[in-house]
Amino acid sequence: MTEALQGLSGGFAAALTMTNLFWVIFGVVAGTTIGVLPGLGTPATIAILLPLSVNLEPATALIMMAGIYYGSKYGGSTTSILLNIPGEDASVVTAIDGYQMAKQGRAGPALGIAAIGSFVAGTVGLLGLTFLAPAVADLAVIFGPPEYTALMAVGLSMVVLLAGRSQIKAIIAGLGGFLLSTIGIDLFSGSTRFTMERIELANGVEFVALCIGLFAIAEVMVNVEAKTGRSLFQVPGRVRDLFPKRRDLVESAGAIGQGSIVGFFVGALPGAGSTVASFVSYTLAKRLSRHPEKYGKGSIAGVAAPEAANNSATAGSFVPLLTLGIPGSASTAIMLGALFVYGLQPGPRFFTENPDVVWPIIASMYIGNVVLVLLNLPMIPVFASILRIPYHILYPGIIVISVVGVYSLNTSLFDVWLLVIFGLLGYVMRKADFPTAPMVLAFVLGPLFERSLRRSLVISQGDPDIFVTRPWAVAFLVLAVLIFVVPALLRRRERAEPEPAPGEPSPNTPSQQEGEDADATDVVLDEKHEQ
Amino acid sequence: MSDTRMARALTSCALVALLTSACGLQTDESDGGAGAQDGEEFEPQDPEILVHTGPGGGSDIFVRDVVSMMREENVISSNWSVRNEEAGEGAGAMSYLLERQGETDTISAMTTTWLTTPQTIEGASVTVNDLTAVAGLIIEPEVMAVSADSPYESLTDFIEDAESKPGELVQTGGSTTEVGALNGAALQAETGTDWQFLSFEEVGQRVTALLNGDADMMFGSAQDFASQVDAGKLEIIATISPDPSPVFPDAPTVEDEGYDVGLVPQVRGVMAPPDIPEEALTYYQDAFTQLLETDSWKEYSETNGLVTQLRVGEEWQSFLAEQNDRVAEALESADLG
Repeated sequence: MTEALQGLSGGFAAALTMTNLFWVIFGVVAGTTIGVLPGLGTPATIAILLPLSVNLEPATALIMMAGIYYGSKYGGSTTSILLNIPGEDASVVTAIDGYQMAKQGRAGPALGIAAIGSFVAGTVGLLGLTFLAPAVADLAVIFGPPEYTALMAVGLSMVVLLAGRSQIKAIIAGLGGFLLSTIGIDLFSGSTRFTMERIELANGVEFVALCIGLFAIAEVMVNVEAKTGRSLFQVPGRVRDLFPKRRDLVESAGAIGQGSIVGFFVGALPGAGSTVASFVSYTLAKRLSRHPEKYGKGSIAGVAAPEAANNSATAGSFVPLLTLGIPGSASTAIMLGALFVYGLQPGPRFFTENPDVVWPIIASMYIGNVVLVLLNLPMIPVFASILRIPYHILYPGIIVISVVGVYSLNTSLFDVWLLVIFGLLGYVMRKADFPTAPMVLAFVLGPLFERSLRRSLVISQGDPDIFVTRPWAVAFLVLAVLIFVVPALLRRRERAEPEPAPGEPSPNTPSQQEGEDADATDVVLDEKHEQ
Repeated sequence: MSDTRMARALTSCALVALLTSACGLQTDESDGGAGAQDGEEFEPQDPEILVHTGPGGGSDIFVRDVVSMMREENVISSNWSVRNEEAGEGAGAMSYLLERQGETDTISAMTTTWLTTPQTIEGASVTVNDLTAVAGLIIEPEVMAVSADSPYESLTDFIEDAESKPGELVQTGGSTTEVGALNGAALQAETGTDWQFLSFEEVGQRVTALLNGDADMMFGSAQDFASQVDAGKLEIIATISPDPSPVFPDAPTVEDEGYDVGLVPQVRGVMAPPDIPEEALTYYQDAFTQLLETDSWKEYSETNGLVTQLRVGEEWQSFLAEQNDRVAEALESADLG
């Protein structure tokens, strides 16, 4: 503990030099920028900057790269909330409730809670990295395929929780997502599945094309069709309405806290990452919420939870990188590569042998988090005013951003066709009242589940005992059961002794209560009409 | 010194920022221009080098390092942009080259994967025989790692244990068609043993499986294990290659241990589109030949455990043909062909 504090204070001394401050700011600004737009991803940006880093001191180079990495998680939420275009894999979940909030005129509070949640969770994650790194690293090593299988079982069973009115439709959508995720080369046999001999499909369906198609393109199509002259978005006029109110903060506090912890641990597991963390946190928040019915319809906690988790996860992902020399994601793999170029070898002795590199990096992340929240909060009114753009400009704009973003991922026209197909699929699903979120969840978690399951059975030579004889796997399976049973029990007890909940937020948003009730009704009607 | 460093860093960063906003993957810094200096010698206009992995993948980091070394050592006068053509484990990059028949601005890095892919992936119709072989650069001898508390002290120990427990021991690695898996299959075929293969996408996950005992051994590059070996958590007990590893020179090779197995080497080389003009081919061959003679390269290859084996043109082409047969054989014995 004292050792960590000593190291951290030394780290702050180094991180606060002019050079390092410059590069942390450069990193987070670049990260936010690439996070806002789909397309150029975080690993690609860090890779492009690799030649530049050779001219910098090792700690400085890593400070910049880390800045890009966690900065992009902040930026990713912006277009998710405003335009239903996830700017980054890890902000797909943010779009679910964030975009609904934007439609209700609460884009400002949504952006605000994303920034605040990111800041709090990022800092909590860093505290974890500072004080718990060695212990968590041990946990990450214990976590083998059977434990992952149990964790993914928890995640996948949550498909039902993302259901709208019909659970059976959610399950069908989930199975559809699972099926899509099987396309591509099977790692275990080397054979190709459902690729129709297209090598573009050999690496599987592009996740970003799927999400943007289902979310953004489908949204534009539905809106263009339903356009009745009434305004779709409410744009609040007063600056006060652009920021989260105290009640929003109270409502999100639990979700932020939960997201911080879940994100850190899931992020620390090699191979899981921040996208998985955001899904787990969102579904957990919904499960534990007293108002699960509000999720998917513009719940502010539904924005806070995934945003907290994906930022905390980035801090978590530094645990295996710095303590074990094991990168858990493409971005951390490049940072490991950069350290190799300097002749540095992250591993179990890295903290004791290279404190002059490790601690400035960690300290700079605390600074970067502060810079990011200071940078993002004042930008909210600017971003929110995007919604004032007339639809005949906004919609083509969304389509252009989506197409350019998807094309630039792999400079592949094939991916653009996928985008079109998934746009149509999303439209049909909306028309038939199928929820799209379970499809995306199953697409992300399905392959992780399948592979962990197959790995477990390779290790045990086909014996399913492996899931009940390993203590951590059992612990997670028990946890899965508890997550399902406990809230149900609690609710039953609540029903037994009913008590009015005074602090309970009303379904109407504050701005609507304040004299815009007529418009609010319109939106509600509009939504019903669409569905 | 530190001022010029800073200035250089700032300039390149400004350029990079511009390009970043342009949403492209190219890193064309275009300082100095790419025009031929004396008007006679060939020089590519807007050179790009393909990589078949995504940013952060093994080939990607290798190529980015190579380009920055070539720049630093003034082997090339303009920066080469790196293009990630990820589709289908090399199949995408190979088709990309084929489509650019006769063009002189695009070359690609290749690995042994380029030999495996056309034999295993549906729809991957282009093979290295359809392309121009520029040069082979290195062999990366794979080493065999086990946990420090495992009972094995040599490859023979492991094989003997595998003989007494058929189907129980576990080797970890990437896909079942990667070099480590093929060599594992070849060893099993040679010794009449049988063990499991545990696939993970990321190297980190494989090393984790080795550390927590889910897997008994792994074939991988020296860099995959260096830090864990340093910390005393893993041990290197053999080299799965005819050439010793520069990082672990004491680890006996498969041949030293008395096994006669046709191993598939992990090679890295350079390919170009078919039918490129002679002067362009010579230009690229000279560039890589020069690089391999520089001090930065020597230092780099040593720390990364690479064995420099320059093969140019014809020699490279026939080496590839030879390895291609070996891969086919290994796939056969692994029942994947």
